[in-house]
Amino acid sequence: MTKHLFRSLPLLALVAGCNAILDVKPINEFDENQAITTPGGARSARAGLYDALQHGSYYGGDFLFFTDLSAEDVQHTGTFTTYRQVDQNDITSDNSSIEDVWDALYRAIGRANIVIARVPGVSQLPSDERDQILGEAHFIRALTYHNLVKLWGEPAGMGVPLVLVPPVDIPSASRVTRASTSEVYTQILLDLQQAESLMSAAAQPNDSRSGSIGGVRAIRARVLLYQGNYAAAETEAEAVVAMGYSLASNYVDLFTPEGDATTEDIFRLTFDAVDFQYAGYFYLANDAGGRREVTPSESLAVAYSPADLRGQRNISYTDSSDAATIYGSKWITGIGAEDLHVIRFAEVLLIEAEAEARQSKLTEAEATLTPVRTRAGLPAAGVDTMTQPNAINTILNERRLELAYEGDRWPDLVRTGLAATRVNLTGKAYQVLYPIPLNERDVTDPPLPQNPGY
Amino acid sequence: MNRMHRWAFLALSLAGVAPPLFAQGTASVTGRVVDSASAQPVAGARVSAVGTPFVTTTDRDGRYLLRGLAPATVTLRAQRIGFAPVDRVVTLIDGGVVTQDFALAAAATLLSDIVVTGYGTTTRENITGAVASVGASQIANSPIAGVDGAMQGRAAGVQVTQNAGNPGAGITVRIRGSASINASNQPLYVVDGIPLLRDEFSQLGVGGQDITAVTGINPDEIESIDILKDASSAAIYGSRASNGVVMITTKRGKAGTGKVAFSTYAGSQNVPRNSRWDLMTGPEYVTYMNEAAENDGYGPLYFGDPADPTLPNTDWQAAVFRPAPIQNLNLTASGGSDRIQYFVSGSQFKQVGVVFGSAYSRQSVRVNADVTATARLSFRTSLNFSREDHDRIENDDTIAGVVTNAIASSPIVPVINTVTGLYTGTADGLAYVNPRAIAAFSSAESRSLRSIGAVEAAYQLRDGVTLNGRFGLDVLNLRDKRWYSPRVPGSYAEDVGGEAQMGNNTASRYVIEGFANVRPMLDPTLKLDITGGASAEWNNNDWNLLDGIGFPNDRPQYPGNAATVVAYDGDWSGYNMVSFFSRANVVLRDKYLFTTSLRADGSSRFGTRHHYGWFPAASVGWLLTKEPFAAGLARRADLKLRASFGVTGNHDINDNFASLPRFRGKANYVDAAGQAKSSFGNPDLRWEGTHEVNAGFDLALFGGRVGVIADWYRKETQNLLQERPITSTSGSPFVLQNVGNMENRGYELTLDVKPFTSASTEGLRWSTNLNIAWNRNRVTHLFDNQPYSVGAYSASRVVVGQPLAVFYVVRFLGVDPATGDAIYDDINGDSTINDADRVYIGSPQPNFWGGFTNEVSWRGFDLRGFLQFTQGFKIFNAINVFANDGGYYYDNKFRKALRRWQQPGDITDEPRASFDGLSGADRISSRYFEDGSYVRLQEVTLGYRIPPRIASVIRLTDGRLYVSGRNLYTWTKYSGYSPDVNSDGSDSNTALGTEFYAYPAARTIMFGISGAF
Repeated sequence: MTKHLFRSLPLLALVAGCNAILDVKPINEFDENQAITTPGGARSARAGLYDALQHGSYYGGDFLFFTDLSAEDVQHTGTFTTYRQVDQNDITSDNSSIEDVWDALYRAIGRANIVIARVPGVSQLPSDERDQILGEAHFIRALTYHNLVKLWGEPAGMGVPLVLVPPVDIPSASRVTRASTSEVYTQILLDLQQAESLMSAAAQPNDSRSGSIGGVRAIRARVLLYQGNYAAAETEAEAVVAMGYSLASNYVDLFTPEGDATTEDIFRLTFDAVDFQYAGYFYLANDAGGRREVTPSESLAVAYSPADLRGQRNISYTDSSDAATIYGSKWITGIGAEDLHVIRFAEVLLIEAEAEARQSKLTEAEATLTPVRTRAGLPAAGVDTMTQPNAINTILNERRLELAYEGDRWPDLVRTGLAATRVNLTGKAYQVLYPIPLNERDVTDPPLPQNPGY
Repeated sequence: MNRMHRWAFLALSLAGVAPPLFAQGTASVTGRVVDSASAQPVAGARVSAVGTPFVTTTDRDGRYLLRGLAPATVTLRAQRIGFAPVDRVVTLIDGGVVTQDFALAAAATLLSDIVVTGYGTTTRENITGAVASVGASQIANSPIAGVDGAMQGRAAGVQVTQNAGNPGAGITVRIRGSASINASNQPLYVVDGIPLLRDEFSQLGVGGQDITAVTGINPDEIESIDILKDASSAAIYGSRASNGVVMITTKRGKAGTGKVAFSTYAGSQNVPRNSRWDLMTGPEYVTYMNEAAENDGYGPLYFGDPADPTLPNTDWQAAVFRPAPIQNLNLTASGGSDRIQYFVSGSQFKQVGVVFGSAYSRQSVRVNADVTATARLSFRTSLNFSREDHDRIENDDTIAGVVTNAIASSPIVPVINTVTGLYTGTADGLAYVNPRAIAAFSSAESRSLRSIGAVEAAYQLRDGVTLNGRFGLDVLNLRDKRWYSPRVPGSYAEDVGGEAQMGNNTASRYVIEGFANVRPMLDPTLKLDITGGASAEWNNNDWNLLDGIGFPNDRPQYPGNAATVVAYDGDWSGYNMVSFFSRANVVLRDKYLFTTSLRADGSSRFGTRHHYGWFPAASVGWLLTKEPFAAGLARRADLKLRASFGVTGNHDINDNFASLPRFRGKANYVDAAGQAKSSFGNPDLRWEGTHEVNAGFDLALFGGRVGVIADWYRKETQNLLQERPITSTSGSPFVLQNVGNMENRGYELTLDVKPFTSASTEGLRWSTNLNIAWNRNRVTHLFDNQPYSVGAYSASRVVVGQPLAVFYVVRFLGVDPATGDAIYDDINGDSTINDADRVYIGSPQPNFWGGFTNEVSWRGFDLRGFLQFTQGFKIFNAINVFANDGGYYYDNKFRKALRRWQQPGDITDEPRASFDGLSGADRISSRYFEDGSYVRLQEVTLGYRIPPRIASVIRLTDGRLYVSGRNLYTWTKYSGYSPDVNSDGSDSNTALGTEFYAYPAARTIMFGISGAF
């Protein structure tokens, strides 16, 4: 027996050697179970949350463009046929860019879910830092669910799938269903409430590049406005005003790399030449360093009065004598190193003004709105002298001019029911909601119900 | 592999059959082998003592010597490619030297060729699988960088698509159809026993066309190419063989006086006028676009006055094309003694591209040496060093391409602004970028330094038992350098002050192999040849990349001068393999042939549950005409029937770690290093497996004047790896899983006829060869059988029951004579045309393809003609999206749009022009697809052998002058540069047959001379 063992030793060595050779592990990637076990791992997972928001199909690109392209103020002038569908409100459920947006938004939610599930187990992390990270994860999840429900959720019907924990395996993941829109809103408000309470114990970040209590409350104001809960929206917006934010003195400052940090920002995403966004590149004319994939419409151009500093900033022409050479110039380089505003103080004022007007507080609305107009070089709008519907329209128009290309026009038209009057949806009213991507329906069991009409 | 299996396997592969001792003696046999027709010596003939391991090859004078034989009566056999083998019985006595000469007659080449099979060689006669061979003469002097391209039309069942004409570009090769959806479909290349790195290592995206590592081998150094097509032949390469195996054998030295040989050619390439896109002239364009604008309510003469004599009329294609030189020089020295033989070769190949800005060159050196150290121990080395320089231009699938803009640019913008003297740009009215400016100022260079080598030792343990050890490597460094010049008007680089990229990628493969070969002599009627061994392989790949913008001036620079870094990368990846293999060949009574093989491959790419895969194969052959009952037939024919079955695999997936659930870094934000989940991982990942049945016959008639090889096969590939979509709500939209099945079935036929076979070299010789293959590809299973769309404009589809990448779009029915709008087939009758109305309108996979070669020689002249054809497939000409869109885009238009509908009552197939895209002309439909069938006169070569009495003045032997034309003419209905197109590059499996601004195929005329001293 011993002799046999001795003889087989070389073979045993061979077998062991083979298994060693076949054990090859990546270097720049990590085992999932060891990725978030240390304070460093938790902090880098937190950075990964914002990285998801920067994605080229989220704030860094398509999501930003489509939320204007679907509406009347931005046109498609490039070569991407998926963009053309969005521009012409002729989207099909296999539109790959729409699918990419859906994927990017759920990628952000997936990362937030992992942080929420794993970070509490990182025992060496100081508790206030841990709470702040968790609060930011809840904040990003709330923000993203709101972005989803804005585009895909029926106002009083089907919302989007609510996934709140990382799935254990693929079969269980595929059994998701669409929660109702009101359930999604309930979860958004719950996440915002958790974010606020987790953050309240922690030191707040000293700039607007990550989630903070100010960001949480501003987004809550926006969510309440979308829900039509105007009194609560007004209260929440006023609370944000009381936190000391103020309008940047110069509108232009908001859209240059030099003007990244202003008192106006509540939550912005920071970009640089490596982690860049596509906004400038897609809006600018070829000669100005862009590809002019998307372009402001003539109707937006004429909506700005000549004195409006925002129009002067946002609208340009390659050839001033030819209206067809119009292009968007809010961001003036194709590099994409300018920060993007997820929510800024001007929007909070507009939320407050609209919420006030909707409650017939026209005088308050006028007072809230005026600083926004003054900065743009315009006189007060006089909403306090108008009828309520006119006042609301004026404020909505102010939103359009102030927040052009920032991803608000289409959701505004949808929430206010104006989409069909501002955009030709004849025979295709269903296009007011985006389709659940075809591939997503193929891999859910049972298939996620499609929005009607697709 | 679990432990039990491993033990059983080792026993099987190593124990073998106890071989009888071969008597060692002191008898010798020597002699000379000559061509029976010319009495010229036959070098490189194989002379063996049948039934013993004694074998040698003849030297340059046709002489051979076999030593150390035991005294006995043995059969000596002399054989050589192109000649019928000859047997002679000699009686040997101890210490004696017997002289035996041979005169070989040129004969049935199809059956007598030596065929390289992987870990051994055999003769065509003993082949029981499907193996195609391509000789050196067919690929030498080919004005194509890689051997993959040179195989086009040369072997039945091997489908080669050039993709585009970029010098040195990657090429698509399919052996018996596509066998995978996501893993590679390209064959495995094995050079002198070492599997070649074949992937693309460049980090530059220059559009659709890639470069691959296949071009690193100089075709002039190749002795033979044997293509293992069916699973039973290829299964000895196990997990990498399901796309077939291309065995490349390089030239080696022969004993004899040293010989210095040279071959060189030089020529010119151009883009024939009749193959260019038929685009509108300036006045035609203005007329058409004016009409488009006016139809939609814009004013008249919106684009200017077509009658204006000052209107520019630019032929942008002519502006970017040029006649371009091509040249090749190859020098070899070979020779040696009985103990040491050498082959040393050096070459330089240089091809300037027919499009401004593109070029390719390769310098290569080879040193092959054979050393007989002792009677039992021999060594051989096969070493290759090469350098390749690709000057690339952006092309195919990109709006920044040179050819793209030569097609797209408006003809009413001049190349040069006459006022400024500078290249025009968007300010002058170009929609995109001036192609001449890109070619002139921007550059993209990829340079490879590479060594491929093997060192082998063979030790004859005892008679009939040989042990072989081999160490091989393929090490490649590829350096990318790119400069986007700020001098290109309207470019991104102009706005940011220039952009520079630099990347390095080092790939290496090291292989150690050991195998034993046993040829026991059991019985004169039973020949056994058993091979068994093991192999380990290490693959590493590391790379870095730096990309910066903003430079102090507009001269080309490295990214070190950049003001801002915009992209960076640096990582490593790798995989290892451990393999065990064995094969047994049995020849019973010289007419019943059996081969079995088994390989077990372990790969680190798969989860621990499936590290090992098993790849068995078996085949049988029956030399029917050796049966007594067929004696009558045998006087005129040799017939062999073959049948085989085998299992091969594919593990060529991009992600070496797909089995692992992972987090990845670089999910950064602000200055914080970020990480995020990058993959779900799938521990159940395993090989794609192909089960293939093959049946065929080899027939030689009339003393070898007619040869036929015919095969039928059915290939079923299972467990296809698919980036299976999973619900995005899980946080990641895909996971790699084994889910699909695919089937290929087809026929192959090779016909070889020699109508004239003069016995004299001066007499008339004519040989003709036709190879043709039919293949049907069908996807038979997918994840959930869910079809999905891929490729440009999602026009290609992967769907069960259809060929891979079938085209799926709406059908164009014609133009409404009343309105001029395009009419499409409303399949579901819902009165709207949308994606629900799509139908299958054709496939990019051809019905059949092949090649037809004729070679005639008479006196000192030789003439070769080579036709290559591919029939029955569709091309998606996606240029139509911009060039036949009714005038929605500003791009120049195809001239066929001139026959557009213009007024009610017009009957035409071209919809009315519409500036706002209202006529339906711009919908992706069958209107944009063309029949790609073509027959191409790929080569005509006329050679002249310099008469010896003239050549001998300068001591030249084998002198030959020739003139050759390549890609001379193509018969096709296709409207573009070449129907041999695939703008998605060689790496694409599911987007095939798509034209999107491909680089043109050049016509080449060249003169060459070769000879030896």
